[in-house]
Amino acid sequence: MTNDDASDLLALGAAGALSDDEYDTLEQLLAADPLLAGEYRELQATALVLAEAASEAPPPSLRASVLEAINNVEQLPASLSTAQPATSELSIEASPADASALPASHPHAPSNVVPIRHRRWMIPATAAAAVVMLLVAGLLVNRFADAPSGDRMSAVLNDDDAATHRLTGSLEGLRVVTSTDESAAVLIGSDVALPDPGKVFQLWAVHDDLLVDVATFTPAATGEVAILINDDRDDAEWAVTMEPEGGSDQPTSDPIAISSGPE
Amino acid sequence: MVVRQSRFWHPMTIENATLAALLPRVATGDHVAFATLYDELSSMVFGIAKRVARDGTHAEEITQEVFVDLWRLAARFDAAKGNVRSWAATIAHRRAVDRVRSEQAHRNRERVDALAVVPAKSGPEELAVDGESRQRAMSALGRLSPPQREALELAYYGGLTHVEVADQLGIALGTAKTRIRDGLLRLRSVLREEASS
Repeated sequence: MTNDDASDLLALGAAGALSDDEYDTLEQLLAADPLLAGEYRELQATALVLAEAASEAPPPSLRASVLEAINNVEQLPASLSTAQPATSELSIEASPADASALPASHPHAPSNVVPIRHRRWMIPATAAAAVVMLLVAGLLVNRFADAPSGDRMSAVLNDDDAATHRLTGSLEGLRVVTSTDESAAVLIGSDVALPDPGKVFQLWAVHDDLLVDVATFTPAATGEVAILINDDRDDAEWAVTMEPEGGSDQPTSDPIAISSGPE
Repeated sequence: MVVRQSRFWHPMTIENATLAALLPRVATGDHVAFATLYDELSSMVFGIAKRVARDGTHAEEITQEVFVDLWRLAARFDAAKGNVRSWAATIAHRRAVDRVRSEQAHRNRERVDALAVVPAKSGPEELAVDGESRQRAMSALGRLSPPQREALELAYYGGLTHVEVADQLGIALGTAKTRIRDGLLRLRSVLREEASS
């Protein structure tokens, strides 16, 4: 890619004028070059002018509606910000134009998060490939291939040192149990509602600056879920979205369940 | 590529530091702080939503979604990596673009046909009403060439990719890219002049 190509990509990205595939390319560019990431922030800051120019007072009634709307909304803990997807350079607002504000040791340190449903909340393919799922008989898990391993699942669940991450939200009854001894985790649940027709649930993990597509799943008719995950990092946070059958490369909906740290 | 480390002008009604100081309070569930945040940002958020979605009802829904996001994500805002206004603007813009693209699937691109660049409001009466930050933003946009401004506004307010901008304007793809890029770079220069004056 030439410098001109890079300049185009940065400017078009800041103006919101790229396709999703082009944002992928931009994300890779920013991840590889902190100077370009700083440049991108500066251009994002410039684009704020377009936002300001559109300012218009909302109807006065909206204020009360918004203040009422947050009453039942759970606030997320700060911890996820340390596990922001690598694409976060594309997901954030513009920073003050000083690239040196970025820690040199972590030039792509997580930045301010955006809604989880946004299309640019993406999954690096390499990270997705790093997570291997094991199918459990009787469950409709749509991805991954490896031998079922009930013994290992039991070992995870019976590990005295295992950490439990309860997922809360509109989808109830799920938790992820992580075991460092077993180098694995288990998504387990009971009385879990079924997804809408033509949809599946999709589990996502966020850790080490990566958003990982873990698996799609549909609970058994009895509402039971049990999935073994070859990923034991207990610093991960977990979220479930409802996606079209076959799952999505990136979340297309708000999370319907999300963890808030180990219990 | 040169990374310039310049001071940047941000139109704002209160200092970013003040806004940023609200976020930790919001993150602890402080409804008063959240109401202040709403008062400071709602015009910008609603304005983006309405401009992009081109529908007042949708704009209200998007605005509510954005503020719910700000409430939910307040603890994860890092003042070292950005300012609150830009963060909110990014969320609002993306929420609005997502909404538009979703609606487009149902409206068979009706919206694009109607999109023909709608000039930003620029009457002196409106500027007086909408305050200094909007005036300054409008003034900065007014210093772009008409083709630059048209392309940039189609991309940002229309939620169009550069390919769609080229198609919409009936110009070559390279020309569309150049207009958007040069428009943004010109805007940056204008802001720098503002900052140094």
